[in-house]
Amino acid sequence: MPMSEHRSPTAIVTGAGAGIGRAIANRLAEDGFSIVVADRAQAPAEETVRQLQEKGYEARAAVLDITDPAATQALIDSIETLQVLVNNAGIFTVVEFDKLTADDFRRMYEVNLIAMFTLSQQASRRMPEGGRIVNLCSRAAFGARHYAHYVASKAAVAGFTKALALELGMKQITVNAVAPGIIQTDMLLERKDGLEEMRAAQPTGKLGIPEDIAHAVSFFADPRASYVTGQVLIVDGGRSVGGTAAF
Amino acid sequence: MDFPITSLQGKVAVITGAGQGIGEAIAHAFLSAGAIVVAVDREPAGIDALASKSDHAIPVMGDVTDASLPNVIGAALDEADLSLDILINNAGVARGAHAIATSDEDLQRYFDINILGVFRLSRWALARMMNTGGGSIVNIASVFGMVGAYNSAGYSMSKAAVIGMTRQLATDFGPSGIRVNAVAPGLIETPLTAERIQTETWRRQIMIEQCPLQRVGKPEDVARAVRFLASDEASFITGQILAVDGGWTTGRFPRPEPLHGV
Repeated sequence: MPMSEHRSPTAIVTGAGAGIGRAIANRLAEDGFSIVVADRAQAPAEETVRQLQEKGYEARAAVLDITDPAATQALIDSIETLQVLVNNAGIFTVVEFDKLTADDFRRMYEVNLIAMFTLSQQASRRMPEGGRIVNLCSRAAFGARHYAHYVASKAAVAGFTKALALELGMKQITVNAVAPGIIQTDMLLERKDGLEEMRAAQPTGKLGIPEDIAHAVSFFADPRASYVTGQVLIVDGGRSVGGTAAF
Repeated sequence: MDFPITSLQGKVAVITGAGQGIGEAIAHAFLSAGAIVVAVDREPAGIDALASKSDHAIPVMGDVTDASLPNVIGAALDEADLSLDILINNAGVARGAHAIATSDEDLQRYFDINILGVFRLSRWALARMMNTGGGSIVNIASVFGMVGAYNSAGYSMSKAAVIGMTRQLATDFGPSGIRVNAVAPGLIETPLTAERIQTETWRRQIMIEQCPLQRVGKPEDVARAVRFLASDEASFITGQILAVDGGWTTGRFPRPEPLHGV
C-alpha cells in the first residue's frame, strides 16, 4: 500500500512480529489504528501484517533494527499521522549473576532502554497533541534472579516512563507503561522446564496471555485516556501483590 | 476512528455514591457498555434520574455507614433475580484538616465511611462472588493515599487504608477468581470540588498548574479507568492501584515553559 494512503491515525508497535507485540498490533488495529508492524525479522513482521490485513485492517511492515537511529528516524518520517508509539521490542537472556558481563549489560541497555529513548524522542517531535506512548516494562523490574541486566533495564524503563511523562505533559502526550508478569508466549512455552511451578505460584493458578497485555496497552493508547500519565500498570495476575514474588 | 467500548454486556454492577460526580460518571460508563447498574446513594435525586434514563439502572437508597446496606442491596438483586459480578466502592467523604485540627469524631467519621463502608460491602460481595465463581471489585482510593497531602490527615489515612485493603483482598481472593483493584484519582472537578477549586489558590497552583498535564480531571477520566479494571479485559490484573491524576504523583512541574521545543 502506498504510504500516502495512510490517513487514519497510525500506531507503531515495535517487536510486533510475535507474541505480545503481535497481540498489541491486533488489538490496536481493532481500535481503529493503522498499524506499523516494526520488527527486525522480515518474515514474522509480514506474517503479522498478513493476519491483520486478512481481517480488513490497515497495516504495513517496517523491517528495521531499532538500535539504528537513522533507520528509526526514517520510519518516523514516513508516517504522516503518528498518534501512538508502543515500545514493545526488547531482549531477554538468562545469565547467572557470576557469569554476567558488562557487555551483557550494555547490550541489554542498548535494546531495552536506549532504543526506547531514541524512538520516543523522535516520535514525540512528530506527534500532535494527544499523542500516546506506551512502554513495555516488566514485573521483573521489581526484582528477579538470573537476569540482573534485564531487571535493571526494565527498572530503568519504569523511571524513563515517569520522566518522559513529565517532559511531554505540556504537549498533552501521555506516557505510561505496562509491566507484564509471566505471559504464555510461544517463547515461554518452548522453555517447558519450570512451567508448572510458574503456574502454581500464580494466585489464580493461570499464566497470562498476550491479549491480557494488549488490552492494557489499548487502554493507555486510547485518545480518551487523556488524564492518565506516568503510570506503570502491573499485569501479573496478582503474583507480586501478596509478598510472595520471589523468583 | 471507531473505538469499541469495553463490553460489560449483561454484567451486574453495584456502584456506591452513584448519584453524582465520579459515581454518576461510572454509572453512565457502565450502562453504555451494557451493564446492569445497581446505583446506590444516600440521596434519591441522582439515582432516580439515572433510572429514569435507563431501564438497566436500579436505584437503591442507602448509606454505606448503615450495617444493613448489604442486605438492602442483596434484596434488590434478589428481587430482580440478578447475581453480582462487579462492586464499585465509590462512596466516600473528603474534608480538609491537618492532624491537630482533626478530632476523634472526625477520624471516626473517615473510618466509618471510607474504610468500614468499603470493607463491609466488599466482605458481602466477596462471599456472594465466591458462590458464583468470581467477580471484580474496584475501589476508589485517592492520590492522597499514595503520597503526603495537604491539610488532609483523616482523608489521606483512610485512602491509604483503602489501598492496603485492595492489595490484601486481591491476595486472599485471587484464588477464588475475584480481582480487586483501585483507581486513585487526582483532583477531579465534581459538584463537590468545584467550589474548592474556585476558592483555594493553592489547590489550583499545586494540583492543576504543577500537574504534568496541567488540567483538572473529569469524572469521565476516572470512569474509563474503573470500567477497564472492572471488565474482563483486565482479567490478569489484580491488586493494582492505577492513578488517574494527569501525572501528578509522577512529579511536579515547577517551571512555566517546557524545556523541549516544538
